[in-house]
Amino acid sequence: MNKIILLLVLSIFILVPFQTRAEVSVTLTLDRQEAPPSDSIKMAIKVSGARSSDSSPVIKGLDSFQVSQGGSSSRVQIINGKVSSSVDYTYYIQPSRPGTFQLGPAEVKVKGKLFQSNISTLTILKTASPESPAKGPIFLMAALSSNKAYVEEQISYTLKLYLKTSVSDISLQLPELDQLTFKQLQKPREYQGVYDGSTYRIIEVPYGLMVLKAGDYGIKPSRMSMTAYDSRRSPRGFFDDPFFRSGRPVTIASQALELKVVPLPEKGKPKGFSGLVGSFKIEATLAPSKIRVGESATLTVHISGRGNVNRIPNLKMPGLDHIKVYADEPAFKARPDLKGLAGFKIMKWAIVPEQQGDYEIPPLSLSFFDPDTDEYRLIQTPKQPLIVLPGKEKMIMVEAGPDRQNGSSKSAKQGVKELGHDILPLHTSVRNLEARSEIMSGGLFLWLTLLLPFVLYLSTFLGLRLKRRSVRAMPAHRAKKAAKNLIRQCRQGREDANSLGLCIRDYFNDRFGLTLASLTTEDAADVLA
Amino acid sequence: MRKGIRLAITILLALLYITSNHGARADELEEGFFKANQAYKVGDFQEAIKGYLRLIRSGHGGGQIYYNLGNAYFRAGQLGRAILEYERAQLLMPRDPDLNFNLSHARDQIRDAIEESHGFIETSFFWLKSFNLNELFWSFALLNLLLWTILIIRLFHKSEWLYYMLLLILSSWFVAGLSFGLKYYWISSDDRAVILQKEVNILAGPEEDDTVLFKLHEGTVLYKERSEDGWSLVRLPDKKRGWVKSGAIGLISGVRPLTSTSPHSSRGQPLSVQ
Repeated sequence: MNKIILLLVLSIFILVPFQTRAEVSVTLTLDRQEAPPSDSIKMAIKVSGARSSDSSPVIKGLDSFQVSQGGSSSRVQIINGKVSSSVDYTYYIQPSRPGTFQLGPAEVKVKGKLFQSNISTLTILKTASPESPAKGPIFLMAALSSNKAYVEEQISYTLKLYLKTSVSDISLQLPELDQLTFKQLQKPREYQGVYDGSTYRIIEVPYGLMVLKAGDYGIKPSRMSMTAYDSRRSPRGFFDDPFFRSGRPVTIASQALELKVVPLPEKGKPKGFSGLVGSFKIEATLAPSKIRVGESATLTVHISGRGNVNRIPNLKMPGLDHIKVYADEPAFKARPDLKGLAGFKIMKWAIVPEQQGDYEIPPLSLSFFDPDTDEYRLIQTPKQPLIVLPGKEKMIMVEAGPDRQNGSSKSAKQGVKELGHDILPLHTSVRNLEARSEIMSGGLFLWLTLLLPFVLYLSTFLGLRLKRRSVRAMPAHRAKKAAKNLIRQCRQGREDANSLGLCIRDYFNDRFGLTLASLTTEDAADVLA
Repeated sequence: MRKGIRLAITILLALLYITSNHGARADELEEGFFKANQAYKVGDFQEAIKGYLRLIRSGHGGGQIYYNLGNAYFRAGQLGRAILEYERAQLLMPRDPDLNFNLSHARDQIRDAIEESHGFIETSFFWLKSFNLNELFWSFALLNLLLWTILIIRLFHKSEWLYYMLLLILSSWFVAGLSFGLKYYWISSDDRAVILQKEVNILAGPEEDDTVLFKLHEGTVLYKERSEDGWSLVRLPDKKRGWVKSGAIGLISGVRPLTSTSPHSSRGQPLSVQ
């Protein structure tokens, strides 16, 4: 095997002189001469008689096309001893307008020498209307929910990609215009659908579209780029996967659309209008509705709806007599869905009455423009009754939202908010009224308390030591007094031998520390010796 | 025998006298405390202040009385004196939550923004602030008793567990003793004072016509260095110094603790340790 490879390599090197002597030619070919504007056309540049070129080909006449590189390849052929070599460059071109175009020549430099290709003619047909059934295997459709809208009204812009072939690497380019804002409402969804009697795989991408200024707008086509794979291959199996097939890049465009945007009517416009456009509702709760003076109740206003929800204003609570009002930070949340952008804003106020009585929290109102009815609308909360009973003296109020009282959810919990400041009341317990004068006045007592344990220890220690010393000294003490005792006993008139013997025995015992025992004559002789 | 009976009767009579005297004194204290509290509750804060001061001057210096006196001063609009009494009460009952809340609330109302400085002792021995001197003393006394008791036991009986217990108690004894000593030193050298007047001029010298260096307001805590002829040299935590009339400030530690109290002490109201 190795020998075969070696022979092949050698033969290539041997044959190089023949190859270099071959004539170089460049050919430009298109896969078709006529195409609709949504198609991409394959263009091949073949450089024959060379194994490589100095640089990539330069092709003229491509100003009106979007060009994607399809790769390059080189090959060497030996047929009947005749050696030929070539380099192929592949391009995919996407027209930007209809018309007839001259493509080429392509210029290629080989070993410093410039070679030119032929010129090909390509005709791009006019754009087909959306209703036109003449659609290819891949096309893109765009649609607006309405061709007329108010400033900042939210309408939907839906893109549908119709597919009859496998594609991958899809990318989207939305039309750009200063006053247009697109917001993707949901992730793309895929389903089967029928268009003009044919079944397509449809990929749908919904967008919310909002225009900030009045005027007539031409929404340019959106463009999708992808890699398409040949669908003519019939066998479906493991190798039908795009991984094993070579795709070609395709760019398709949707149709352009027209949109008329009109300003909001001046007639009936509320004073200080916030610019809110859409459909909204307002709700309010006051909890608890019966409190004591100094306690707090929470007024919660919930505004929800669909439209330019970020313009929902922060409502202002009017001043109330004998009631202190503390506003909380509003909570806002927006969430897109299939119908557009929806959201809500929750505002809370702590209501702290200073006097008892029956109060009414006045209604809070919100105005917005409803594009469905083409008029301004004013919505408001109902009046909220509040009964205030005579109160206890309280220093700190704890704000308790209605959700918290219902115990519905943890997310509704709020931090404790201090609404007032004051000192805490007197201590009335009579315990520990007295100062511990025994310590204060008793400097001596203090030292005694600390020194007494030490004195006790010292006494015990010294006592023990004394006791030990006296036990050890007793024999010596008795020895000292032994002679004195013997003389005293002798003087007491003990003249008999037994008494005298006993006295002598005691003397010896005391003097020499012996144990008490009878002294035999032998013992006496031993001791005296 | 007769002598013994006489001695017993004498001791009994003396005990009865002491007990009855103490009971009468306690009744008097409780009555005075109750009256002052009642005056406070009906809004007669001046009467309440007089009542509490009477109790303190008669030698009853519990932390509760200082706390209530602080409350009465606060209600009477005398922020400086309220803070002074709260600070004194805090020396006696440092962990009382009501007291700490009220003191913090009163401090919030001080006009001068002066940061509290913490010395080395307060920072290193942070637990000292949480205990009063009495608690530290009795802790030390108890450990002292335990230590010497174990040493006495060891004279008669030596064992390994007794040795380890001795080590443990010895280390605790050391910490308690050190804490007590430091607290004693800290209180006895406490030169903190509170401005009692709405606004006072801090002068460059102890004369009325000396240059005004800066002004301080009621409730501000500063440090007194020394006094001369009715004037006090004071210092702020940021090292600013100047002279102020002695009557315009009140010392937090009126007298030395753990020594005999004198109601007429020159250093201000007597402070006893609970």
